[in-house]
Amino acid sequence: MSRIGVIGGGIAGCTVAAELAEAGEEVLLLEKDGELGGNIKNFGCKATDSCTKCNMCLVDSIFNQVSESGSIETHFNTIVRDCLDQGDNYSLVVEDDYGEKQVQDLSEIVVATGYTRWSQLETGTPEIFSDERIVWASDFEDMLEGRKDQLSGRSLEMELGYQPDSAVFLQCNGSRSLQEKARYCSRVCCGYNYRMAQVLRHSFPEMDLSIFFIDMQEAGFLVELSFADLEEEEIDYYNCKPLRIEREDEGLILHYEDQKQGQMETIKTDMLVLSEGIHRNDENERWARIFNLQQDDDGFLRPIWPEEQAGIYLAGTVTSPGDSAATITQSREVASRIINNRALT
Amino acid sequence: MSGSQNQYDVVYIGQPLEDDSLNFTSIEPENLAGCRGEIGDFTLKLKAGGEEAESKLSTASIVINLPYREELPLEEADSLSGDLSHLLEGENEKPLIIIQDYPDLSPAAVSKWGLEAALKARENSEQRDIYYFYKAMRFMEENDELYERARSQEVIFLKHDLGELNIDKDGVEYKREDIELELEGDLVMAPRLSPAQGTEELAKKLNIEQDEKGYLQKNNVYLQPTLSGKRGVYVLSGARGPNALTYQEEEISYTLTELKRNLRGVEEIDDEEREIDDQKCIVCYTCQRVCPHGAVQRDDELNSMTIMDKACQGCNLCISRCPAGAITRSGEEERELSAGTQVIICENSASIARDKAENDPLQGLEVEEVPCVSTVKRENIFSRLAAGESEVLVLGCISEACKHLTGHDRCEQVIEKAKDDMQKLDLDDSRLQYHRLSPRMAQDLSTFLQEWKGEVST
Repeated sequence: MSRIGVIGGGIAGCTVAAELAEAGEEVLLLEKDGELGGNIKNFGCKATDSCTKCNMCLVDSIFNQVSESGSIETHFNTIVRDCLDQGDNYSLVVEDDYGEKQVQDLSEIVVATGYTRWSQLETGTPEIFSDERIVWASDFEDMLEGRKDQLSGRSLEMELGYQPDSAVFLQCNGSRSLQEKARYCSRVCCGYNYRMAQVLRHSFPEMDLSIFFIDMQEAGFLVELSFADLEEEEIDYYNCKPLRIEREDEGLILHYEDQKQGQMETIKTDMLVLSEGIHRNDENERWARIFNLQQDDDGFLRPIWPEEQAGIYLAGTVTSPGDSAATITQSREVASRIINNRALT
Repeated sequence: MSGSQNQYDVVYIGQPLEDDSLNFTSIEPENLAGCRGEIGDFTLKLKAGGEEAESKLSTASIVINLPYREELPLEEADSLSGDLSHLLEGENEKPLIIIQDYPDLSPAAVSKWGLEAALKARENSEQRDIYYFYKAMRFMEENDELYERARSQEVIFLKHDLGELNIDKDGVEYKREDIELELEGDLVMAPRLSPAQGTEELAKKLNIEQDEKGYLQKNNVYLQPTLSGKRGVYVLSGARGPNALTYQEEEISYTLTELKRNLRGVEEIDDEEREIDDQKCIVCYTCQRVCPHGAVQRDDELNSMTIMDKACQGCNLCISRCPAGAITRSGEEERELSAGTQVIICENSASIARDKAENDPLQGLEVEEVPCVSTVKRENIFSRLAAGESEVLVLGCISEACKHLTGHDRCEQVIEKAKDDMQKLDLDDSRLQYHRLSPRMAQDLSTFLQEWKGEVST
C-alpha cells in the first residue's frame, strides 16, 4: 500500500504525520536525529501562575500522538539523499547507520525540514560566545525545560553559575538587518522574549527587567502584546537597539541613544538575553535541488509546480518564519489539503 | 418556505468566505433564534422577519465571521480601514498625516493599510508631504518591503511615543527634543477595535463561551487558530480576538480546509459510549451547563438530556457532576481502592511529563489517569483518603492550557471545598494536595515527587 513520506520529525512534520494518520493514511516519517522534536524539542514551558501561550503543551500533545500512532512508521538517524520520480509515486534514497537504501512507493512527500538557528550560522560578534552573562534566547528556552519551580512553588533556578539581579532582552538579532542577510522581521522573538521576561518577573518580583527592540510585534494568535502589558509587568522597554556593549566586571554596560532626550545613555545589567530570528534552513539549497523547488530572496523554499500536481508539499518554517502555533496551523492545513486531494482522485 | 429544511455544507454568520466548492448560505447574527445538533448535523432556527416566516437550516459546520466594531479616536479624521481614495488620488497638495497606535498599539494589519495608503499617496503626488506617526511598525506579509519603500520615497516616519503628539480637529502638533511640527492636512487614523456586534447574543444561542473581552474564542492554546469550544463552530475576525486581522490569511485557509474535512465525516473522540439514562435524568441542565464543549442538549421527546457523540470531547465532567447519577460510560470500571498514597493525574499534562522523565517518578504510588482532573469529586477524595489512610495528590494542567477549557478551575474549586471539609472534621488538610504542571515539566515533576514522597513517608 502506498504511503505518504514526511521528511523532518520536528513540530511541522509531526503535525502533518499525526493529522494524516488520524485520517486513516499510512505515514513514513524520516528524522535525521535520534528522536522526535527538531528545534523545538528542548524549549521550556513558559507558564507563570497561568499559561502565557508558548504552545509547548500543544506541541507535546502532537509528539505524543505521533509516538502512539500505529499508522506512523518513524525512521530515526535517517538522512534523505535523493528523490526518484517513478511516474505516479516517489522513491527516496536514504542513508542511515547501515548505509544507503531506497524507500519506495511514496504517493506524496512532505518536506518539513525546519529552520536554522541564527546562533548556529557562524555570524555575529565573537564576544557573545565567550561571556557567560550573554546567552542566546534558545539556550534560555532549553534551561526552562529543566525548570523545577512550578510544582514546588520555589524560585526558578538558572543554570548560570550566578544569580542575576537584572536581565536585558535584546530583540532583532538576525532579523531586520542587511548585514545578517535577513531583511525581514521573524515575528517570533517579541513573543518568546516577552514570555521569558514574564517567567522571570513571576519568579523574581524584585529583578530589573528590560527589553530593547526596534518595533514591538504581536505575539501569536492569542496574545495582544502592548506597551501597557510591559508596564504592568514592570518590564522597562527601549525603542531602539543598543549601539555598544561593554563587558565590565560589575556588569554588562549597554550604550544606547535616548531619542526622547536626544542624548546617549547607559544601562547596566547582569545578564543579556539575545533573541534569535528564524533563518532559512542551511540545507535549503540541497532540498531545492532534490525536490525541484525554488528559494525565495531570503532563502526559504517555494514550490515551482503546484503542490497538488507534483505531490511535493512544504510544511512549517522551511517556507517562512513562524511561531509554533502558526507552524502547527499551517501544517494541519497541509495535511488537510493532502487528504482532500486524495479523496478527489 | 416555512418549516422546510435547507441542507448546507456551511452556514456563515456574517461574511461568507470565498470558496466555490462549498454549498453555503449566510445569515445575519440578529436573525439567529437558536441552534441544536452537532458537527456534521447542526440545525439553526431563524427568526421570522418581514415577509419571511420562522425557518430552519441544516448544516455541517458554522462559521462566525463578523467585522470588528470600530471607533475613531477623533471623529473628524478618516479611518485607515475605510475607502481613502478621495484623499489619496489626484493632485492633492495638502499634507497627508497617518496616525496609528493612538493611544494603544494597532495590529499589524493596520500598519499594512497605513503603508499602502502612504505609498498610494506618493504615487499620485511627488510633492506632497506625507507624515506617518506610530509607536511600533508591525509586520505581516509584505509590510517589511512596503516600509522600506515608503522610507526611500520620503514618507516621514515619526515614533510618537518618543515625543509629544497632540491631535485635534484643526491639526496635529508634534514636539520632540530636536523637532517641532505644526501640521494641517488630511488626517487618517487607525480605528480602535472591539468585539463584533452581537457576540454576546451569539454566545448564548450557540452555547459557546466568550473570553474576558467579549470575543467568542476563549484564551486557550488548544483552540488556535479559529476553533470555538464547540466542535464544528469556527470563529473568525472581529468575533475571534483582538489580533485576528493580522492572521486573517491563516484563519481563512485553516477554516476552509476544516470545513471540507468535516464533510467527509467526523470521527468520535474515543471508543467509549456515554449515555444519559432517560429514566434517571431529572432534566436539571447541570450537564449542559458544565460541558465545556456544548455537547449536551435536551431531547424533548424523551424529556431527558442527551449527549451528542461527535461533539463530546471525552472529559467525563458531566458524569462526575450529574446529581442523579444518570450518566454512564462504557469504559467505566469499578476501581478497587488500595492502600497507599493516591495520585490522580491528567492525561494531557502529568501523564506526558511522567513518560518523559527518566525513571518513573510515580513509581510505588497508586495512580489513576483521567482525561481531565475536573472530574474529581469530594466524596471520591474522602473515600480515597480513607482507603489509603494516607495522602491524595491531584495533578492538573496549567490555567488556560487545559484541553477542556476550564477543567483546572473546576478541579481547584472541588479541592478547596474538600479542604474546608477536612478542616471542619479536624483532619490534616495537607493530606490533600493539588498542583498544576505542563507536559514539559518532567524534571519539575520528578524533583517534586521525590521530595514529596520523602515527606509523606516520614
